[in-house]
Amino acid sequence: MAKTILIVDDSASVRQVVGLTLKGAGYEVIDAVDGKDALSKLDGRKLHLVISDVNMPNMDGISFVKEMKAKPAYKFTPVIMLTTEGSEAKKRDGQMAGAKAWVVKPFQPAQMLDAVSKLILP
Amino acid sequence: MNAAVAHDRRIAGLVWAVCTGVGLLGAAAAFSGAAASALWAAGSGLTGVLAGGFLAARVRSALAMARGAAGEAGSTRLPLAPGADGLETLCGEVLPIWNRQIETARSQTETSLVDLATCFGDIHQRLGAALGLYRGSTGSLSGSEDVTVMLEKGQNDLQAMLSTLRAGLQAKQEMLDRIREVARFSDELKAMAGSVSELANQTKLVSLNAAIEAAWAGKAGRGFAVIADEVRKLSTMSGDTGKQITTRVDSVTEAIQGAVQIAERYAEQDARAMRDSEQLIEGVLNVFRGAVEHLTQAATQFQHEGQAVQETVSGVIVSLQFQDRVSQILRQTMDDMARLEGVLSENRERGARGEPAPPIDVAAWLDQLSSTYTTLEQVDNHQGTQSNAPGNANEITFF
Repeated sequence: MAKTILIVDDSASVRQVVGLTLKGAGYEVIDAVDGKDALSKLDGRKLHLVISDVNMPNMDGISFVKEMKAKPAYKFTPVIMLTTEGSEAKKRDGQMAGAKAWVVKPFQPAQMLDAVSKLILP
Repeated sequence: MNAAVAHDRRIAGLVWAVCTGVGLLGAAAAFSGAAASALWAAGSGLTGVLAGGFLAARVRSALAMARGAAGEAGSTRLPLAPGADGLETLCGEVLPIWNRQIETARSQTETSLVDLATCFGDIHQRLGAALGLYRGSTGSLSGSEDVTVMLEKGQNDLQAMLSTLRAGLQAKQEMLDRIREVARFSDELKAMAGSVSELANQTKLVSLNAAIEAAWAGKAGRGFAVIADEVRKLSTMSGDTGKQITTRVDSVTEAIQGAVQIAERYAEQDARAMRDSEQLIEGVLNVFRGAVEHLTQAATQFQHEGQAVQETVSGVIVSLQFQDRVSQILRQTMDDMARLEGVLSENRERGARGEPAPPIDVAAWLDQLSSTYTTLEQVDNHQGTQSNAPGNANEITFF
C-alpha cells in the first residue's frame, strides 16, 4: 500500500511540482493551501510524512507544525520544511517546532526523494 | 511640452520601469543554470519589458484622457495637491492599480506554470513508464550481456544439433565399413565354393581310376567297383553343390555391392548436406548476430536519449519552481505598496481635516520592509546589490 504524504504550500505550482515528484516515486499525495487548511485535512488519517512551506497566509508552516505535533496521532509524523527561507534563525524555529529537515527551494527531485526515503515512517 | 504632459511621462516611465523590473526579476530568478532556465529567463525578461511598455502607454493615455476630461468638465477627479504636484493623490490612485496589475500578472503566471508543470510532469511520467516498459520487455536488447548469452545459447544448441547429425553420419560410415567387410567375406565364400568344385572334380577322377582298377581285378573288384561308382556320384553331387554355392555367392555379392554403392551415395549426400547445414547455420547466426548488434546499439542509444530527455524534463520541473520565488517577491512588493497607499490615504484624510501629516520615518520603513524578506535575492536587492541568484537547488539540512 502506498505511503501518504501531505504537501502544504500556498503556491499551486510548488504543490504541483512536489506532487509530481512524489507520485512519480509511488507515494500517495494529499495537499493543502496553508496551515489552517492542512489542519482541517488531518482528520485522524494516517500520514507517513508532511512537507510544508513556511510563509503562507492564514497560518504559517511553523505554527502548523507546532499545532500538528500537539496532536497525539501526529506527534511522531516526520516533517520536512520546504521554503525559500534560508536563515539560520528560521531553521532553528523549524527545528524547535519539530521538523526533521529543511529544504531550500528550488529543490532537486532526486534530493527531495532521498530526504523523503530517509525520514518517512515505515 | 507643458508640465502636465511631462508629469504624465514621468508616471508612465515609472510604470514601465516597475514592470520591466518585475520581468527582469523573473528572468533573474529563472536563470538558475538549468538547460531550460535560459528560455524562461529570456521569456520572463521579454514579457516584463513588453508588459512594461504596454502598461506605460496605457497609463499615460489614461492620465491624458483623465486630465482632458477634467479640463473639459471642470471635474476634480484627480485633484493635484499644491506643492507636491499631486504626487500623493496620484500615488493613492495609481498604487492600487499597480497592485492589481501585478497580482493579475502573478496569478496568470502561476496558472500557466501549473499547467506547464502538469504537462512536463505528464511527459516525465510517460517517458518513465515507456522506459520502464521498454526495459521490462526488451531488456535483452538494451542489455548486451543478455543478448550475448542468448546468442551463445542459440549457437550452442545448434552446435549440439550438428554434433548429433555428425554422430549419425559416423554410425552410417561404420555400417558401410561392415557391409564392405561382408562383401570381402563373400569373395572368400566364392573361393571356398570353387575349392569344393575342384575337390569334387579330383574325387571324380579318383573314382574313375578306382573303377578302372576294379575292372582289371575282375570278380574280386566288383565290390570295389560299386564303391567307386558311389564315390563318383557323390563327387558329381559335390561339384553341383559347389556350383550352386558359387552362383548364390555371386548373387549375394552383387546385392551387397549394390547396397554398398547406394550407401556410399547416401553417405556422400549426407556429408554434403552436413557441410551445407553448417555453412547455413553459421550464416544465419552471423546475420542474427549483426541484427542483434544493430538493435542493441539502437536500444542503448534510445535508452540514453530517453534518460537524457527525462533528465531535461526533470530540470525543467526544477526550473518551474522559480515561479514560487517570483510570486513571493511580487507579493511582498505588493504588500509594501499597499502599506504606502495606506499611509498616503491616512495623510490625505489628515489633510482634509486640516491636520498636518506626520513625517515618514524612512529608516523605520526600510527596516520593516527588510524584515518581511524571505529570499536572499530580496536582501541583496535591498542592500543595493542586484541579485540574480535564485538559490541553490542543493541546500538541505537534516535536524
